[in-house]
Amino acid sequence: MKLEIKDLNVELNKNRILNGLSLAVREGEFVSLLGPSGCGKSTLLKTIAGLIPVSSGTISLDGEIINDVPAYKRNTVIVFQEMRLFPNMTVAENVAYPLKIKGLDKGTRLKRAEELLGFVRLEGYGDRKISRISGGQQQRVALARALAAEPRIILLDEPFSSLDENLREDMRQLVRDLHKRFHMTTIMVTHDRQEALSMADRVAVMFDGHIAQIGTPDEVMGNPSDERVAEYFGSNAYVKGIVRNGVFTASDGSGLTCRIDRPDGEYDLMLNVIGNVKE
Amino acid sequence: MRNSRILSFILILTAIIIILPALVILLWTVTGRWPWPGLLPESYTLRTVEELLFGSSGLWKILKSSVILATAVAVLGTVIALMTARATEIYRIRGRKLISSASILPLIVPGTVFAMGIQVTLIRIHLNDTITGVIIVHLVAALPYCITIMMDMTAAVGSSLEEQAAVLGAKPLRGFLDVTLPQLLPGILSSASMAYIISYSQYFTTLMAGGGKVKTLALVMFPYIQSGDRALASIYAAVFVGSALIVFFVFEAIIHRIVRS
Repeated sequence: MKLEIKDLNVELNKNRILNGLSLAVREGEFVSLLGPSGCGKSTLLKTIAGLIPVSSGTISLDGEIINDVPAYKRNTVIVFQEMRLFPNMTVAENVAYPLKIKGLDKGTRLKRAEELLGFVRLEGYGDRKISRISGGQQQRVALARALAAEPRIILLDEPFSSLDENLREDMRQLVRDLHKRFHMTTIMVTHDRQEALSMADRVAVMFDGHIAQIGTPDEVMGNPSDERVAEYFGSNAYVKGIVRNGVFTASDGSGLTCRIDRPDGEYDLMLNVIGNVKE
Repeated sequence: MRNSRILSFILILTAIIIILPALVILLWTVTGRWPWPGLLPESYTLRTVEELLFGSSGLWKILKSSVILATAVAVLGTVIALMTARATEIYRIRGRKLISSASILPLIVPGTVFAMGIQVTLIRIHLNDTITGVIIVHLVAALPYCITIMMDMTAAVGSSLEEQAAVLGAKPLRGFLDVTLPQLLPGILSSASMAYIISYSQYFTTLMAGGGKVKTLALVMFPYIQSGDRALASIYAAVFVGSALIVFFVFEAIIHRIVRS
């Protein structure tokens, strides 16, 4: 399912949260939404899902504008950070809930729930209470429940941030596998750069309610669109200098020179420290 | 260990404080003569039971009308409180602060003043001396408590589960019934019980609004307490407390059944 957002503005309590945001996500693509907290990532997901009204601009799915379609008709499922499992239902009933709404009979939906629990490696957990399973298991139940709805787009809102590091890697793998298997258009909000870069087809970097850059992990890392994006991706050093005839010379007297394909003039050369060389 | 001992001591003390007077009331119901300074009554009689069951007061009729009246107040009060709480806490309508402070106003105005005033209003709208009028008056008395309970409960439960249900395809009412209502049930039980007992124990407001035509247990009980017939007053008190407890158990059973289904 193709998602297209054009010039989206969202205001909450007279504060502008999303500010002329445009984003296009291709069918079956996995996009990571990266940005500092408070930049509007979660608001964007909720707006796509129809939980927050659009102030202006358009959201369309496969060319159909869905601005006024209520959340329950959009079939765009969010998996929240807090999982939001229904405590009055068992694991299987949680997973089967979207099927219950669709009116499937009990036998069919519980069978499907068990099958989905298998996909997230929770076979045999169906009868457990939500309070009797661990945080990582709860997150997998939330994923299975989202899959049960067969969403047009699956929206993951920092799905792993409440888990410890070992579990997190496990879950990343699981999400990647599920994405491969079901080929669902996926948007995942995260503030973990490594997670975004390692999982997604494309990474969208968000600042102050709009997308600063979107591209493949290599593009965003290797060719940041501006200083803020570059800063966001790591420890950078800047060297002042001038470019003459395609050669940059540092003006701090350090003797640093390098070839650079830019017109003559004054420049800041950015050095991006990506990782420890020894590793 | 020490803590649990203190805790059980407090628990036992509380139980004694509640149970002892109740036992005295039960003893009084069958007391014939109990002169001072005897520790126990001198003679026992079933006069009060006879009077209660076969006397002129028509116990069953009064009990029935009291229970129906108080149950109506409990249900209406809780529904109104729930809707108010949803409007202010979830949908965050304009003027919600005004609504929440206005909802406790009936607590500030003294009951007798309120009863006199509302009687004039009821006469104007031709609802005086009717059961509807009494229900309205009892509702005004019960709503501050119901609204406070339901607002706190609604704020605590929030709308996050409903949002989740919505993105999974549930229409708003369906989502509310499936995921929020089960979380609210303890609050609903408290609110209904509170409204019930407030309505059940209203005396002056019932007298004014019902004009003596709407009879409740509290209304019938009062003259006995005032006239000093302790035995009769006690048996009415026992019926009053006992019937209220039975109704609470029924409420709880209904709620549990809803939770399970």
